[in-house]
Amino acid sequence: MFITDSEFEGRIVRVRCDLMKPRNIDLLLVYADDVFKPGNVRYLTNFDVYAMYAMVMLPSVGELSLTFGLHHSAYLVRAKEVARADYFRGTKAPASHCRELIDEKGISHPLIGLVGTREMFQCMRTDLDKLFPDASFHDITVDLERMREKKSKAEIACLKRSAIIAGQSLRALKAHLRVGSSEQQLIAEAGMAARHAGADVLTREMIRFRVASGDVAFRSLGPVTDRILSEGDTFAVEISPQFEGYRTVLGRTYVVGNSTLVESELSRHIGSIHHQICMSIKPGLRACEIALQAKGLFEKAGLADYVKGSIGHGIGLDPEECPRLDLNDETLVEPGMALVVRSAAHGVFLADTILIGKNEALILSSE
Amino acid sequence: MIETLFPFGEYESRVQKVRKAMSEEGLDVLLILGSRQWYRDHYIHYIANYDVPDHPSMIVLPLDDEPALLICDEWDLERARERTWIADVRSASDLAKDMVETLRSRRLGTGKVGIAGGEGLGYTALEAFPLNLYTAIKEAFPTVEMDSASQMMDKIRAIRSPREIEVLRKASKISDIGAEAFYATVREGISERELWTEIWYAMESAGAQDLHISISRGPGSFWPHPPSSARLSKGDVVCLEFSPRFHGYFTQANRMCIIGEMTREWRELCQMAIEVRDAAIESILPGVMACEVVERIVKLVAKSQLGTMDIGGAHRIGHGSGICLDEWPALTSVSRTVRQEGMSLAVHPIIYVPYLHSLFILGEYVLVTKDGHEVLTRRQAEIPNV
Repeated sequence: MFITDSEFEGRIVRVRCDLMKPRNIDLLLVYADDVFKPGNVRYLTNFDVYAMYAMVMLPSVGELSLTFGLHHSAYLVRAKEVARADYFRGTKAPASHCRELIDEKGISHPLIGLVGTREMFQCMRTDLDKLFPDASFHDITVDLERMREKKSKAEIACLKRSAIIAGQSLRALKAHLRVGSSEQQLIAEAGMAARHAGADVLTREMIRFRVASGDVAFRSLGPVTDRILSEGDTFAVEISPQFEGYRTVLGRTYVVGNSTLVESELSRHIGSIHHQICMSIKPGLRACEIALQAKGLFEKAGLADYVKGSIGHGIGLDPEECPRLDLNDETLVEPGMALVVRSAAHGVFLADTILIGKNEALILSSE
Repeated sequence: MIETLFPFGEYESRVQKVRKAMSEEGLDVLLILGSRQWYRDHYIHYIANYDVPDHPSMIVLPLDDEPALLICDEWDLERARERTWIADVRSASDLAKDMVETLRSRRLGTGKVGIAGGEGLGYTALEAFPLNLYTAIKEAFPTVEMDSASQMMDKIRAIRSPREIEVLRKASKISDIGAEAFYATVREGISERELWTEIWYAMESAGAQDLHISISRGPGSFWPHPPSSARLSKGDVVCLEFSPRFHGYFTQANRMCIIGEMTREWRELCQMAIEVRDAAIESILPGVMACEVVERIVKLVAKSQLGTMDIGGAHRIGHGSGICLDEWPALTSVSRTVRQEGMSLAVHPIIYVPYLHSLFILGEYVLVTKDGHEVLTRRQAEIPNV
């Protein structure tokens, strides 16, 4: 494991000191389910939420509890094997345990911090309101997510491994890319390579693929189909493998068989713009400035129509993290951040993961 | 050009059944939520033929008006329009806000709203409805009543159409391919992860568009779990569950093998597992209640004096499986649901052998027919040793 016990302990200390104490929060509830931001729970406990909800309960002093939906006793066994918590409980009604924790401490009118609860099951919030008529609630989701933006050395090591896995996966795919292959078969090869290279393997979502093939000039990438590739087809793929919970993204576009001169030139041209965007990212710039720069590069190349909204976002334990690289986000880009940058025009789709260093950005992908 | 998995008529028929049930339940509109994670897009798939790529999507299905499909992945709008028969497909940058606007535009601010999708693990769809969506409805339409429509949807989609059965047959073949890969690969010394990777590759190459595989390895790690780097060793009882998803439909098969010499003791245990599985399958008949079947199987296992089905909770010999990996009806000792023609079930009695601290699980995918049943996966005749 790249992330050590002491790093997890350090995170709990930081959350208590930097987020809870200044706000006088007595108990912090961090919610996640497999749909909404599992990264917050994993960040604190290493628990990879799947097929259920999970909630971290962190009092200002004392033991960290982890509750989760319990379909089967096997989940409890697994939780104890992989998660770092002092207390585990499989329960449909986590609010009861929250009440126990507050009552044990004899706190009246508690201040309860909330993370990720905007999308929690409504019955859980109803229970909290019922059991805590005397409490105040304070949402600090953004604050915890901002805390997670800058990655530690160990986290960066995980991201680098994920990028290596993505590269190996892409190479395996390229080796099988030919007329007559199907999207399905190509992804099977790429997935196999990713798993052999060490990607997390709990669910299919841990190695995400999005593809588009055929005449993709006006299409977006989507789930894999059983389409068979023909001569001259464009094949675009985005690979996002997870390593110890950390994800990167690598996206490339190819022509099946021989590409025409126009196709090669177009691919080189857009690749060059994409590379310029990536290399222009520097610490000290704001996310909106990066987006504006990218917009400018596309406009200069006569491709203004292809700039839509965001050109990327943060990445790490969640597939989409702060900041968003769009014209509205004023977040300062700082060393330690990991960003995904995407460029798409005329059926050429490219994506890379960038690590922000002390003075410049490093493109993690080697392909 | 729109390309749905089934002809439009099939989706029309589904919507008609849903609307009939809505009318009986007094629902003015049905909100069907779905997301990609853990296959929670099943109802969106079933009604709209849309496979949610990432962020949640929602179908707004009024009783007496045209439905709308709201998708949060704006970049997927065009593909969504190619896949679904629903004419009104919209991008929803803020699902709560866009859901309310859609309800308003269809004049659905009063009456009763049904919620489906997102249910599971003991939560109804209404309980599991995300707080932001629930609050948005409550604030915009204070007099509206919300209710879970999971049971209503369960009963409709549990009976497979002939076309769905054809898809399930193909999905079952993929399970068989997974089983072949298991037996071709399993050996002493291989790690769970290596074994799992080979099986995954075989099924994905055969067309599985999603997969779930779990491993149980007694006595070291006998609860079903994701693969680890632990290596199979002599004396291990290895059980695998393969659940490929093909065009939105799951099937399931359970296979097992013994690592080491097949002694007399192992032969007796394996024979028991086969007999119990066969008895469970033979009991799957239309008109029969689940709990009656389970009771017979529990007695059969107890009679063998080799194992038990007491592993906590109700005794269970399987469950529905189709558009969801694990769906209604459950085959448990407390389930009074009657088997009906057209249901498709994963039948896998779970036997625990205490002195070996191991599970014995063999299972097949079974279709309930008019007069009996049909096993769609290739039934395993014996449990091998390697």
